[in-house]
Amino acid sequence: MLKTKLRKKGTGFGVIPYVFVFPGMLLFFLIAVVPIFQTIVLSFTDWNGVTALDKINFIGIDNYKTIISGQEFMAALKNNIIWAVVSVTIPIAIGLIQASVIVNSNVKFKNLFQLLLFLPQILSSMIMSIMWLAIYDPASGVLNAVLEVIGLDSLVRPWLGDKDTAIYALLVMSIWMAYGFNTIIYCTAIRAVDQTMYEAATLDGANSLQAFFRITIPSISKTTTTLLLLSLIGAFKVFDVVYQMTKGGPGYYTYVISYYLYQTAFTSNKIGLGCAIAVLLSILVFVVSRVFLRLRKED
Amino acid sequence: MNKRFKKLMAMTIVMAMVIATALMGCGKKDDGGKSTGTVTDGDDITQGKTEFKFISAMADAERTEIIDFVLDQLKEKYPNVTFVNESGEDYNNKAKLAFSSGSGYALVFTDDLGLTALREADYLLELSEYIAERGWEDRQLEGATDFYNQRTPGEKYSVGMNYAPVVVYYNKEIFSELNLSIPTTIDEYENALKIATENGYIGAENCKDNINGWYIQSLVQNKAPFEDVLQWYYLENSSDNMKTAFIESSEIVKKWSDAGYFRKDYEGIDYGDVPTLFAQGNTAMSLDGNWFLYEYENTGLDVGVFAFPGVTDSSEDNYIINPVDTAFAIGKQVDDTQLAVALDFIDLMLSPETAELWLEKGSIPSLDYDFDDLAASPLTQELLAAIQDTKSGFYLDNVRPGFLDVFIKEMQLFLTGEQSAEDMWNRIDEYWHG
Repeated sequence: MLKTKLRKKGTGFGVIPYVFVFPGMLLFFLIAVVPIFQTIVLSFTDWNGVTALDKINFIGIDNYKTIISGQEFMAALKNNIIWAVVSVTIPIAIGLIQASVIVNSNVKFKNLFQLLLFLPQILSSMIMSIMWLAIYDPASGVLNAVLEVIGLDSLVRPWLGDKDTAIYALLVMSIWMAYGFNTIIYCTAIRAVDQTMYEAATLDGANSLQAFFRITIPSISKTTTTLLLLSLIGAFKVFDVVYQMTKGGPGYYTYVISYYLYQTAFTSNKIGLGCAIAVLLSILVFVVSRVFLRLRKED
Repeated sequence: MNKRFKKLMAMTIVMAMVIATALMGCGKKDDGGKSTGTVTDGDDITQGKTEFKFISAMADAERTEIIDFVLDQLKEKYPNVTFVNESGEDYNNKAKLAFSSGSGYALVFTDDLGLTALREADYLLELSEYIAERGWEDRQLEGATDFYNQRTPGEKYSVGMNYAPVVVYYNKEIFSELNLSIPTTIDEYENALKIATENGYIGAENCKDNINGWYIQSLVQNKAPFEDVLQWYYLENSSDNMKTAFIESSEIVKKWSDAGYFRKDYEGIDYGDVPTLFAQGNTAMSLDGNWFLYEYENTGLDVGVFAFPGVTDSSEDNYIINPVDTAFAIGKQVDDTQLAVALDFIDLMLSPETAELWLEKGSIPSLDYDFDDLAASPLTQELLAAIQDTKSGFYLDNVRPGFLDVFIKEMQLFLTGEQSAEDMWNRIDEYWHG
């Protein structure tokens, strides 16, 4: 019997890793953790953002009561839910189909397509808002002009000024901005799928559609749920598109929680109330994410 | 050895980052000026200079030129003062942040809402003594100084400088072709809209936010007794007269909108595009501010201007939106040098020479000087003549911070038929009550 001498390696406390991590953690603590606590504390005050901090008053949960009982929050929440449903599902579906075509077909210039699809990610939301404002402009915009030329005058409308179309007009822009990124991610994921499974499926007589649904989609499910989660969080945080294009209008038809927060805190001089909205939004995003992750785990 | 060298390099980088982070958090203490990275000793930057930091809404080329004209004179008089101009977008939020964080500005030139917020937080210097000493009130047109100081009887915290009228620009060729004369009552205005529309023109330009609000506000200030308007604007009382005036005025504007007197699908048009659309030459009129006078003047069309007739009888006083739009105020934290500079700054801004520059650039000074010999543009002269016999009303949306956004949204819901005028009033009245 061989006796194997096992030599335990020294497991002394290493300081070096913590030294390297410390500056980043310090920065994170100062610019993220401290403001989070400040926000929570301020949400229980009536601070207007103008008076000195030593003159603010604690008002308990009055801010939260104001938010819950007000029609603005409900209108904003409804719009955020619509945004979540549409902006989460459609860009992912488009991204998946496009990636599948790019990877599995014989289309040429695949890299070029991927680059072009990724371009909206590179451009700032300000530039894209200006571009889409020009497209949707009812007086001189491209969209209405094209509709008139092809004889669809009945569809001409003020896309961003019509309560029935405003939020969907913004969502079209949001989908256009998002699906390119999803396509790139899916391309990578699909390329990582074991090719032998496709070979085996072909031998068993499966067609390309069956292979797509029975092999591709299950194999990239983790990528899909990650993208879904990121999109969901993004849908509740949306602000820049709304601010730049509609300011929450017409009426409250594109009013979202982040815009409500901005208006309350910085235009209405109600920082305390704005902080309460921020806390509620954070809780909402947290709950939605946790539910989603729990469902994913169960799957 | 290689490993040790790498560890040493890594440690050095880490220490450098920690030191840099620590230094950033221990920058120069800001005291009325932004950090310039130079060493300070109390108020004085090295070389014995004082920093004079100010902010305003004046960031466009024309008005920056006016500020520079004033600064050049101040720099000569105060060679030991460094001037820092932080004028630009979002000036109100910048001012709020600066004052609440302890630094503040030596001079602010901003609107009623911004100044009220700063005054209520006790950041502004009381100026009665200086106004009297320097004769600033005497240089102003009647009521101009009072406008911003009505909320603090017996005390003055700001000095106004220019009016911001909302007027009607009109296409003279269209008017001539349709034999239209300048409307002097609301019925005549509606008639002009109707005739223009029936003849294939657009009655008036419009957009998704501001313009309908200005129509309503102009009408309200002629329908309600002006005493009620004053009480409403200064948050003293919201009377039934104001409710009736708002409801009736809103219904008039809705009638015009439903009749198609405005550009088709105007609900999707941005305010900034209005002068460009007017320049296409198919629109008879456009309710807009004096700040776009230059744009209307340079459309290539024969453009005129008249005061919006909010009255039903031309013999009545016609109130138009024409408040003293922005005013100067001095931060309470200023030292003696900064105070002297601030007072001279205001003095120069209220001088006849600067007032002439304002006028040449299309702004309307609230100063009581003789501008008859001035080479102002024809449209500017026409505007001055048009508003001469009118009474000055307010931007009612300045009644409270955030009111404008609520007013626009509730107005949009009303104009699209989503709610009644009474519901609209109830919502804005609720906001008025805070």
